[in-house]
Amino acid sequence: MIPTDTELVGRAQAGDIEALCELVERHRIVALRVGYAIVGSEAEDVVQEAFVRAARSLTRFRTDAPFRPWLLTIVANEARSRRRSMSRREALQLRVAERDANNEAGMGATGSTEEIAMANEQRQWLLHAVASLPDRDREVIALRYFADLSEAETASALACPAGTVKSRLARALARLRAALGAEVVS
Amino acid sequence: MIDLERELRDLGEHLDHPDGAQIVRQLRTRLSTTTTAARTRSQRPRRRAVATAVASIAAVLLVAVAIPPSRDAIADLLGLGSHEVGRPDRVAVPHPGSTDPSSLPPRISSRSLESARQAVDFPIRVPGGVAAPQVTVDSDVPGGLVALEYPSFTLVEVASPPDVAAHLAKLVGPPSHVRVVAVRGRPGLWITGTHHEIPYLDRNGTLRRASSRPTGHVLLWDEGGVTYRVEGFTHQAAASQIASSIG
Repeated sequence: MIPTDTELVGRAQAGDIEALCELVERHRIVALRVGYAIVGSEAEDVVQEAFVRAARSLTRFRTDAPFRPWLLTIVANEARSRRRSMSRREALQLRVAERDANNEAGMGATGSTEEIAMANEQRQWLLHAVASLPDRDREVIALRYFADLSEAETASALACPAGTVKSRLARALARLRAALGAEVVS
Repeated sequence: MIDLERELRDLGEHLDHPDGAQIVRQLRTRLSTTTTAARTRSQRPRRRAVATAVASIAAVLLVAVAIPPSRDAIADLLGLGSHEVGRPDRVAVPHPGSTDPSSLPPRISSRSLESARQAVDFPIRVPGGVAAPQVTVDSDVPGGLVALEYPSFTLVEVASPPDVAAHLAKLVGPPSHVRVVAVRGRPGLWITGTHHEIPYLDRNGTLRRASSRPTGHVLLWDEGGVTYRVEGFTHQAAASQIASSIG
């Protein structure tokens, strides 16, 4: 039987290092996605530090709460802190990963090379628009869409009211639509 | 008109973020290397399961100590009810007084072990294989504090029930170092430094000073509602040995 997050949390809180490692491993990729969206290439460092912080404060985590939003709160805090100390003169360089068709889990495996290339280009446009967003807008996009947190969980992770997240998301999506609309010029 | 939200979710799965394969491995290494340091030589193989669990907790905590230590996190995680391990800027430093026993506040009294047992709220435990100590009791501390003075060390026991408002503060002055170690099968602290003063708040909220040995390091742990301190040893192994011998 595969242990649930809750079961792993219990064992980790009792001092089981392997349970702790397995637990964070489950959420490593989504943590990296959030970190990458906020700080770019420093994401690995940020997630590493966030996981250490999470290990340290694990005894304070209520085991009946969902683990991923709690972990991503720590990741977001670490990332935002790192972002504040970065030089702002250069825009964040975010890139789409170019994988071959066989590795694509998200899109149909039967896509042609041309279709895959077009899809990647479309994604790169969207990612460029995301990277150009103000930090706060990009943060809500990362948590809500890259990590698939609910609006309430996103608000909790960013320690702001749900209403603020709602309006920030609406504004971010409007900005993205405007940026993408400007691209579509034939 | 594209479905922007769906596109964003899809985008999240195609980010060129770092691979991060090292992250969990490095986390395990950071926790495991401190595990080795936390183990004492007296651990026997059949207690390895307990030692590993304890050392794991201690290892996680040692990470907490290596990065600027959060006093509350350490005390919280160790369940050290009556002590705060703080930095000088966080704890009010009392006017330095002498450690001459005759200058002790009047409510601290010297007495026999039997009399001391009546005066505190917890069973007093003594180390094995040592001669009878000189006993002082401070009944001003809620629950009571007893100091057992032996020729080469002092063992201090103080009640640490969770609902006590006043608590002892252990002042850790620079240069000093706090390390999590395993003591009697549970996490404890080995506090090294050149100078220890022990201010505390009595039940009236007055800042007082307890008698203390001016030299040597402190081994501190919490067990059964009592916080223990072994003071006066230079080497942790000797302090741990006394700790292990407590009945």
